[in-house]
Amino acid sequence: MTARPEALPTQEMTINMGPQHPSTHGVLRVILTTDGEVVTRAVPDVGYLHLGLEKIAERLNYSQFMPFTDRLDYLAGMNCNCAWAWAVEKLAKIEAPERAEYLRVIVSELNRISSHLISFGSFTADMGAFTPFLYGIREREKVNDLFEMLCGQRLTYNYARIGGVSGDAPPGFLEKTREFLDYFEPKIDEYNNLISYNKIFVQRLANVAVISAEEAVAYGLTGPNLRGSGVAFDLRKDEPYSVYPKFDFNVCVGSGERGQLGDCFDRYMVRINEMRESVKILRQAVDQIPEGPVMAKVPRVFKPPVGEVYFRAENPRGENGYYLVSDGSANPYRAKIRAGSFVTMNIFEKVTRGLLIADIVAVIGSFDIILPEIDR
Amino acid sequence: MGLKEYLNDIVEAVVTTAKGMRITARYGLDPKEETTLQYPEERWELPERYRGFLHNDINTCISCNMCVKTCPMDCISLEAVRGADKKMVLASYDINIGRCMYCGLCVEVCPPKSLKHSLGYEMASVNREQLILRFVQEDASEVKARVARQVAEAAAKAESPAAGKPAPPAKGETKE
Ligand code: SF4
Ligand code: SF4
Repeated sequence: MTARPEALPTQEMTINMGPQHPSTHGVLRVILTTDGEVVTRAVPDVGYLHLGLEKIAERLNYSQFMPFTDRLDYLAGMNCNCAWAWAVEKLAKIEAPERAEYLRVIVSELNRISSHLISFGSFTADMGAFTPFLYGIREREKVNDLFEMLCGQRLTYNYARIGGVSGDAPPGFLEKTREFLDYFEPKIDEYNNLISYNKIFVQRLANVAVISAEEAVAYGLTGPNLRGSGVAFDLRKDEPYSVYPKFDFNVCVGSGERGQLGDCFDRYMVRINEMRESVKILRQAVDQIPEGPVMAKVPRVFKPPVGEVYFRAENPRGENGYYLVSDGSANPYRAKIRAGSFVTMNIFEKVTRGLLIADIVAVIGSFDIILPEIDR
Repeated sequence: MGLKEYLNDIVEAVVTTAKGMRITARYGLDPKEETTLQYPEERWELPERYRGFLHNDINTCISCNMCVKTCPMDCISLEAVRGADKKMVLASYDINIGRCMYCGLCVEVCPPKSLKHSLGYEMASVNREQLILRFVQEDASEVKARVARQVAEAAAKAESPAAGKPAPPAKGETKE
């Protein structure tokens, strides 16, 4: 490249990406300072989708807040539902029946698959390959059908309850789940052939926005974003909850297979591989699920004892934690929600420095953010 | 980057893209792989537990207010007056489905199971007023006036020694 002639002074330019930008997965505004095509600074400006969930939680009782957790991460409503139920149960020292725990794990893992499918689809669509998105949606529809059968809704499930789940698996549900797993597992290889190892796709992601393991830990990344940097930390294994210890599965980590460890491609691959592990967990859960009730005895006017508790669960987008303070009344005194996507935005400015504008899209996609989680 | 690598990359890009295109072509050409449902001509079967629009059977509703208290969005409002037979009579029962999020919490708590989800999911309205489902067709003030009349009649009968038994329960009359 020839040096710029001194006679042509250039200026940095500040431009807005978003809040209405198709690749920001919602209403994220990124303030870009660019020098030509190179981004010198990218500051995410969050808050356009503020739901006020934490305040709403203070005004409602524990079971009334359940449908709102669906809105926290609308692509993984089941995971948020179950995390809320587990948090409140930990606070009130209630134990859900074993069958309910199995059902929760089944729905959580199914939802993890469907969430990763959307992540896979929208990420590849952002990278210019639209077809995989349709395949992702096609398989996700089948998961939605299963959920519709189980709880009557396709997106906002409101399935978990304090002390159990709202309904036992209807006849045929477990068989249909098994059928889905048999159908779905070969599809993962198909995705890999379709796009994952496509040279153009790989070239766009490899060595882009590399996050080292130390950085990832220091910035509090969780979930696939952390594991993409090679840190094998998964709450399902490292701080086991529910019936997860009974299942045999691996924690997927990035391996730097096409570039440096911790680049966008590693984060993408972690999600693809995690779908396989979820299938593994699901197969075991569907085979082992015991008979029994699905609801523990919980008084109708439910008042947990005075105290505070923090519970965290492994959601598709990282750690979903609820810090609950109870003053002994029917409503939480304080409910702090920790969401993976919000914390991920911390590192955004650091990793995007010096990238091209088109790579910003790759970074956002590889983080798999969801806006209601960021703004809550 | 050497020339060899450069050419290699191009070859690899063509090969991997062709691989992906083969999958796309297979799905595109095989009629068995068709997944699109031609809505509204075709519809999928709704499961039993489907949470569609709410429906309240006002003949079995006991006006207990449980649904109102449970709803996180305050969609439901009801007015009830005590009838001549000491039972509650619904004067109005409205659900604002513009606010409703179909969570189903109200349905779960309803003691006589009069409140249910229907399988309906299609509706369009041009103003917000139409989004309020009114389950008691009569005007609330009319119902109240009628019930008050009945209560007064019953009281008068009970007081006058000439009347034998009090009037039969007014329940039947309040039905639509
Ligand atoms: S379904 Fe939920 S939001 Fe709708 S009326 Fe019932 S409790 Fe309220
Ligand atoms: S909970 Fe059921 S019976 Fe009670 S007021 Fe509501 S609809 Fe009527």
